[in-house]
Order: sequence, then structure tokens, then C-alpha cells
Amino acid sequence: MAHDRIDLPQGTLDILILKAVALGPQHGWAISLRIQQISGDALQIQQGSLYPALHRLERRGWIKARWGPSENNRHAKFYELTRSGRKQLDVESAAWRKLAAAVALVLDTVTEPRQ
Amino acid sequence: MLSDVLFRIRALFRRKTVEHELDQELRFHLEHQHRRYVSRGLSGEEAQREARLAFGGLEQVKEECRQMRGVSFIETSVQDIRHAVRSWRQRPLFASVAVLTLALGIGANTAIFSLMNAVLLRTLPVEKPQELERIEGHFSYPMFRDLRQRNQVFSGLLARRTTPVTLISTSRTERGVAELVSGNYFSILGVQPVLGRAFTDADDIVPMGHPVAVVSFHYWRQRLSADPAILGKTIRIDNYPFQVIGVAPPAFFGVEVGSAPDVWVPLMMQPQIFGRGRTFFNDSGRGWLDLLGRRAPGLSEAQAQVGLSVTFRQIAQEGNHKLFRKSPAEAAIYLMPGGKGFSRLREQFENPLYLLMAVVALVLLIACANIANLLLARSSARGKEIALRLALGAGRIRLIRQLLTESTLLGLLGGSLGFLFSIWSVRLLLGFLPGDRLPLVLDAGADLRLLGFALLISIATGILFGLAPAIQATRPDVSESLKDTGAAAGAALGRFGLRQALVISQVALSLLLLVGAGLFLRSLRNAVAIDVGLNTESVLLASMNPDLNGYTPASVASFYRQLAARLRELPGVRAVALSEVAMLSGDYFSVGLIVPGRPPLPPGPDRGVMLNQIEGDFFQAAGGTILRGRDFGPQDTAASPKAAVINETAARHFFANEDPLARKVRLAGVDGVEIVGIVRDSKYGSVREETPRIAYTSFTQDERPSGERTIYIRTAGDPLPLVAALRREVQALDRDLPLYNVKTFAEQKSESLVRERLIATLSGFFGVLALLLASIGLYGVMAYSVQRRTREIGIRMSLGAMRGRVVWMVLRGSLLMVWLGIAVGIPVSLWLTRLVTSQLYGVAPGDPMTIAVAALSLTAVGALAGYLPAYRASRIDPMLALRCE
Repeated sequence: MAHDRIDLPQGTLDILILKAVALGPQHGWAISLRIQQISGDALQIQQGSLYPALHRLERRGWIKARWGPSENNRHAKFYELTRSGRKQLDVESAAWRKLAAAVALVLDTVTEPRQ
Repeated sequence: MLSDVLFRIRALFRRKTVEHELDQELRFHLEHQHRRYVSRGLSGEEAQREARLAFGGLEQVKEECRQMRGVSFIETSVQDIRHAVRSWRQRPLFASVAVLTLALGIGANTAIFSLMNAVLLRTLPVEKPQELERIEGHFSYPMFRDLRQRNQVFSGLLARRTTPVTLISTSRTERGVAELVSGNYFSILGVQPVLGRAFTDADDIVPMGHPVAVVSFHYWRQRLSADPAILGKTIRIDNYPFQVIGVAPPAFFGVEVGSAPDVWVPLMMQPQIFGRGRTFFNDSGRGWLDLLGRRAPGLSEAQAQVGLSVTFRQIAQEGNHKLFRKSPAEAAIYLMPGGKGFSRLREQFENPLYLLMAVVALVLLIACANIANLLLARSSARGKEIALRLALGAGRIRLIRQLLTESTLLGLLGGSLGFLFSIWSVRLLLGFLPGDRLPLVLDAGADLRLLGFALLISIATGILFGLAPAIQATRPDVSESLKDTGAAAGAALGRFGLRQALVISQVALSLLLLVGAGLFLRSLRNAVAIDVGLNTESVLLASMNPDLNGYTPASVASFYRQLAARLRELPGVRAVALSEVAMLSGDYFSVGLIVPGRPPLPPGPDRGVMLNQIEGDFFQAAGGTILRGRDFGPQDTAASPKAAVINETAARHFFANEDPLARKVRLAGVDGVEIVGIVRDSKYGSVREETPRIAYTSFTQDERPSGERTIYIRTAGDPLPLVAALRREVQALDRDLPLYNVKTFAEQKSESLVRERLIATLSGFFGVLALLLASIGLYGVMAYSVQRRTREIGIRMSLGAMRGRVVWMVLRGSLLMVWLGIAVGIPVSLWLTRLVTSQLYGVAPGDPMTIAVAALSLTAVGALAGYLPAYRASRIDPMLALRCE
């Protein structure tokens, strides 16, 4: 199963985090779970690497943090998307889709058999 | 943007909260992950392991998060500094030894640098000093006038000359310094007076027609009580009234480094205050002026040089000037950068200062090696802590940075203390520099450049001694260090690691410094032993100048006659004499001597002879033996034929094998001077000069003799107690006549060697300091190695090794390092000391005796530094040593 996983391309962690918190405030652990679930366990992410990314996004003002009670009433740090974060998510998703489509197009063309 | 700033500020000031939150957040994650694994059926311990694995290095993540938060540089530095301070508190001895060593090293560097800064580097406090060009040599007034009028390269050319004067303000009569300056002086320099006005060209037109003066800020404050209404009032310079028209700004000390005029006077007043009433304005054969020009806008130095040379050659070819020693075709004029002004001090001390700078830099290197060694010892002690942190995922770079922060901090602490040291020691150093004919005024105070230097050197030092230990300490063979260190100790036995290499280089550098010091000390000793041909013991000197107080030639003569008579009456006085030029004072008065009937010598230096005018029992008072002929006597009067006494060297030079006695020569432009005596050779201006040709004439035959004379009083015993009597006798004759240069002849002689003494004393001091530092380093390494080898030594002793053998084993290790250091140091010394040949006297740079003495002292000190740990090793109790592991 480990062989089916792919390492995360540079810079994609940010967009995954933004997407994960787009649905509502989440704490770090939940974000890591969600990314794993959404990607169907296909993406290999060291859980620890999530946190520096969260702090970076917070500093850029794309997400903001707030302390509150968790599901089992523990004190947890929740992250939510800011307005500029939503804008950033839109921009990045569009760019990502465009890139993915372009790459797919190239790959499909090349794999066509030749005489 | 704003969020970013707020975020950083919060992170910086609420460090603890932020750190706590980060901790909580990550713990929250790990707990949940743990619970998740447990719910999947893993045991508690397994779940914890898995959760950790899935998460990655906790410390690393924390560190990355801190970095992401953006203030980590300052934050971690603060953290590192706290850490460092905490660890110093635990080991105050280490910290104080390190700081003190550094303070010595950095202090020495800062002190020498502040002298260099003052003497060599600082520019004049004038407008755009980089545009100023000074012209090499001294110029006559007509030459200055022509150059000023005809040159195309300067927007302005000024002339100046300093001279000692007697200054009389309301109540006080004292010696001061006047600077004669051309009228454009202040405007070219761009110096604005703080009160009144500066000179203009209109103040410098008619000879003796402009009795006006600008006084220095210092003089105004100290002697004129900072009188706000001083303008228009009169001060007397050489007993001649001058009207004060301005007060110069406080920072302005003229254009000569090392001297500060009290008053500025227009050049046209020269006959009054310089040159005994003679007028130099039409004398093209007398060079007495320094010239300083401001380059015209847009002109490069090279262009200015070419342009000025053309003008100078034209002037020379017209033939209206007496050019000294050169034909018009050879006439050359050289521009030098003038932004730093003139300085006799600079010429004299430039090389010694560079030399001393190199010496103190070496001392600092040795100090660095010492502290590096201390740090290495400490980091091996801290090895476990560091290995643990490395294992927990702390970055190596991060750890190196922490260690470097600590060492830089040490450097800065040592540097601050050293800076204080230097301020104190510079005052001491300045005492070395000569300055009695014209008082030495040197601003060696702190400025930005000096502060920058101290800061830079402190930081550089911190990194220099910290880097190697930091790299060594964080070497990633973690598992090795995590084991108990005892086992690794044996490895330190015969192997030469970084610590040993440091000590060896310390020894090598110390050898270099000791050899240097030895060479300079021997040079000084040789120079002191030079036979100056004068008897400097038990002679009191004092100078005075009644000319300055308005005496006539006749009253000068009678004044000195009376004074000499009164002094001869004093108990203990053997002989009293006068001379125009003080012997061995560094002053020279050279004139031409031509012998009719002998093949003429080429014009120039070959015709020169040092002249001194004397009176009284000069050769008894100053020491000297008339070999043939006679001394001057009462028969030599203004009316009798002119007589001269010459020394042996002059006799040989001018007369070869002929007998000079009773020959008539042309001396200093006077024909028919008869050689009446030949005196034994002696020095004239300084101890280290080649024996010069000297001619003496008598004051009694001169109708217009100089008033400025030095009096020589030979006494039966110590001459110093006579000073009070001398002052009393002078005051009895003239209350307003200041005495100066009051000292013994022996002091005068020793001052003539000030440069040699400065170099020898300081290099000796630093050599001993280097020796001390190196022995501390050696001791440290040996003590440490004995400590680590306790067990091994214990085993050896329990197997029957004798105490003596143990002592020798440790001592051998110490001596081996010393000898290796010496082996490295000798070729380096041979090679480097050649560079200072010009500063040596009577000893060769590679002098084997000096090297041998240096090597022996190092060996002795090395043996001593090694003996203490060796002795301790021999006292190790084998049973205790074996049990202590």
C-alpha cells in the first residue's frame, strides 16, 4: 500500500489546508485527518509538517486561529479561512486545475500510439 | 501586511505564551493520534511510538513553526543569550578567564589602533579634506608667492609655519605655539571662527603691518577666561601687541597632527615672531614654509601633479630662485595627499605603529586560541547535552548558531572591557611620544571608526575562537558521545587533535613575539650603549628665549653672562655653558663649509656641516675633549678674527690628510673663519645618527646671536635638585622669562631613543603576555588530558609504574607540544623578522642568540605549565581512579 502513495508536490500542502478549512473552523489534527480522508490516503504527508504550514498561512493572513473547546471539550486551536484566504484558494485552485488539465493533455497526446 | 507585523510583534513580546500555545497545539495533535491508534487495538506504548513516527521530529517541527512565525532570529538569539548567561553563571571561572583574556587581547588592539587612528588615519577637521594636497618639502616665501600666483591646479594654495612663542595674556607669561599662516588659510580650509572673523588676504599684505591674531578655542577658554568681549582686545605674542580678531572652533587644531597652535598670526608678521628679526620675504634660499593646496574642481591628483610640475620647472628655469642642491633640470616637486595634514609624528611613528599593530594582532590570535581551547574542553564536558539535543532532532546549524552566539557574546563582553582598558592605556602610551619643544597635542579619543573597529574585532574574535569548537562539538557521531565518555578518553592519549594543534600554534606565535621582543630589546640596549661622545651624566639642561621678550642682541648677551655667573656661584656646580642648538634634541642646523685651496666639493650635502654656537665651558659641561688646538676663550670677541672648532669627522672630510689648524675657511657664508681647535667626535641631533661633521662657533663673536639657547649645568651629583635654584636665578634676572625643556642631559639622550624604547617596551610587554597566555593554554590542555586519563594512569600505576615515570609521561606530552611549536615558530620568525630589519640596531633579524633565548624561555614555561598537571597525575590513587568510573 505504501507504494501507491505519492509525495506531495511542492506548494500543494497550502492549497489542501485552505480547502480543508474552507468548510468551517478546524483544529490541526482534524485538518490532517481530513486531508488524508479526502485524498483517499493517496497522499503521503508527515503529520508534523502540517503545523509549520499552518503557522505560515496564519502569518500571511489567509487563515486565522482561535482557541476554543474541541468535540471532547478540550482546549484546542481552531483555524478558519479569512476573506483573503478564500480569494487565495480560488486563485490557486484555478491555477492548479489549469496546470493539471495542461499536464493531462500533454500526457494523453504523447501516449497515442504511432505507426 | 498589518497582520504580519502584529503577528511578529506578538510572537516577539509574548514569547512565553506563544511557545506555550505551540506546545499545547502539538500535544493536542499527538494525543488524538495516540487515542486513534489505541482504538485500532495497539497497546499504549506502541500507539505512542506510532503517533511519534507519523508526526516526525517534535523539536524539528517546533523549530520550523518558530521559523514560520518569522521572529525566530531575534527570538532564538535572545534564547541563546539567556542560555549562555545561565551556563556562565554555573561556571563563573570559565567566563571570567575568557572575558579577561579577551579584554587584554582586544584592549591591546584597540589601544594601538586608537593611536594609529589618531596619527595615521584621521583626516583634518576641515571642509572636504580629500581635496587637499600637501607639497613635499619646505619652501621659501618667494617660491610660495610664485607658485600661488602661477599654478593652474589649485583653487587655493596656503603656506604655514609653526613656531614656539611667548604668550602674555592679562597676568600670565608662558610658552605657546603660534602658527604663521597666509591670509587665505582659513578660507581654503573652510574653517569658520566661532567668534569674530578669520583672516582674509587683506590681513596679509604689508610686512609687519597686520598685528592681528585668531586664538584657539582652547586658549580662549583656558587663558582668556572665555571672555565674550575678547574681540579687539590685545594679547602680547613675543612681547608684541596683537589684536584678537577671532576665536577658532573647538575641534580645529590647525593642519599638523600632534601639534595644536594657541594662536594664528598672518604670515606677514614673520619678522616679529620667527627668525630673530630677519625678514624672509625676499630670501629665496630659505625654505621654511609648508604648502597645502586645495585641488581645483574636477582635477585628479595625477593631473594636479603634472600641472604643478610644469609650473615649477618654468619658475626654476627663470633662475630667480636659489634651488637647493639641484639644477633647474632636476627640479622636482611632489604632491602628497594632504587631507590628513602635516605630521612629523606620522613620519616617525608610521612604521612602529604598523609593527605594534601586527604584534597585538598576534597576541589576540593567541588569546583566541586559548579561549577556543577552553570552549573545546567545555564542549566535551557538554558533549552529552549536545549529543542528546542532536538525537532529539535539533538541527546542527541551529546548535552551531547557539554556540556561536555564546562565543560572540563573550567576544562582545571582552571587547567592552577591552575598550575601557584601551582608553586607560592610551593615556599611558601617549606619555611615550615625545613632545616638549612643541607640546604634543594628539586627539586619540574615541570616534566612530574606533568604536567600529572595537565592535568588529570583538565579533570577529568571537566567531574566530567559537567556530572550530562549535563545529567539533556538534560533529554528528552522536552514538559515540552518548556512551559514557570514560571509554573514549584513552583516544586522547597520543593523538594530536584540534586542542593540541591550537596549543602548538600558540607556542609558535609566542616564539615569534618573543624573538621580536628580544630583537627590539637588544636593539635598544645597543642603542643605549652607543658612545655619543658627550658626557650626559650629571648635567641639567634648560632652554629659554629672551628674544621673545623683546631683548636686544646686547641685552641678550648680558643676560646670559649674568645668568652663567650666578649659576657658577651655586654649590655643586662644576661648569656652565650655553649652546644655540640643544645637543641630542633632534634639532639640526646645517650650514656650508668651503676650504679655499682644497679641491672644491660638489655643491649640496657634501659641503654641509652641523653648526652649533656655544659659550662658556661647553666641552667641560656637555662633555668633549679638545684633541688639538684650543677651546674658545676670552680672546674671542666680536672684534677678533672669527674662530671655529671642528670635530674629527669634519677635519677628515674637509681636509683629508692636511692639518686643519690655523686654516681659514668659509663657514655659513662668512669668509676667513679660522679653525682653532679639533674636538673628539660626538653625535649632534640624535643617538642613532651616523657621526656627523660638526663645527662650533662662539656666541661672543656673533653680533646678532640667537636669543634661544640651551643652558648646560654640570653638577657634582644628581643635577635635578638644582632645578629650583635655576628657576630662582632666572627669575631674579627676568620675572617674565619662561624656561622650557628643563630636564637632565641623560633624559634628553634617552628621549632621543623614544621610538626604540616604545617598540622595545611594548613588544616586550606583549611578548610576556603571549608567553603567559600560551602557558595557560598549555596548562589547560595538559590538566584536561590528565583528568581524562585518570583511569589509564591509575591502571598504569597499579601495574607498577613509578611516580617519576608518570610525571615524565605527562611532562613529555607538554614538552612535545612546546618543541613542535618552536619547530614551527623558528622558520616563521626567521622569515618574518627580516621585515623589521630597519627597526633593528646592531643585531641581525635572524640572531641565533635571541632565538635560542626565546626557545629556552618557552621550554621553561612549558615545563612549568606541564609540571603541575604531571605532579597531580603522579598523586593519583590507583584504587580510587579505577573505582571512580
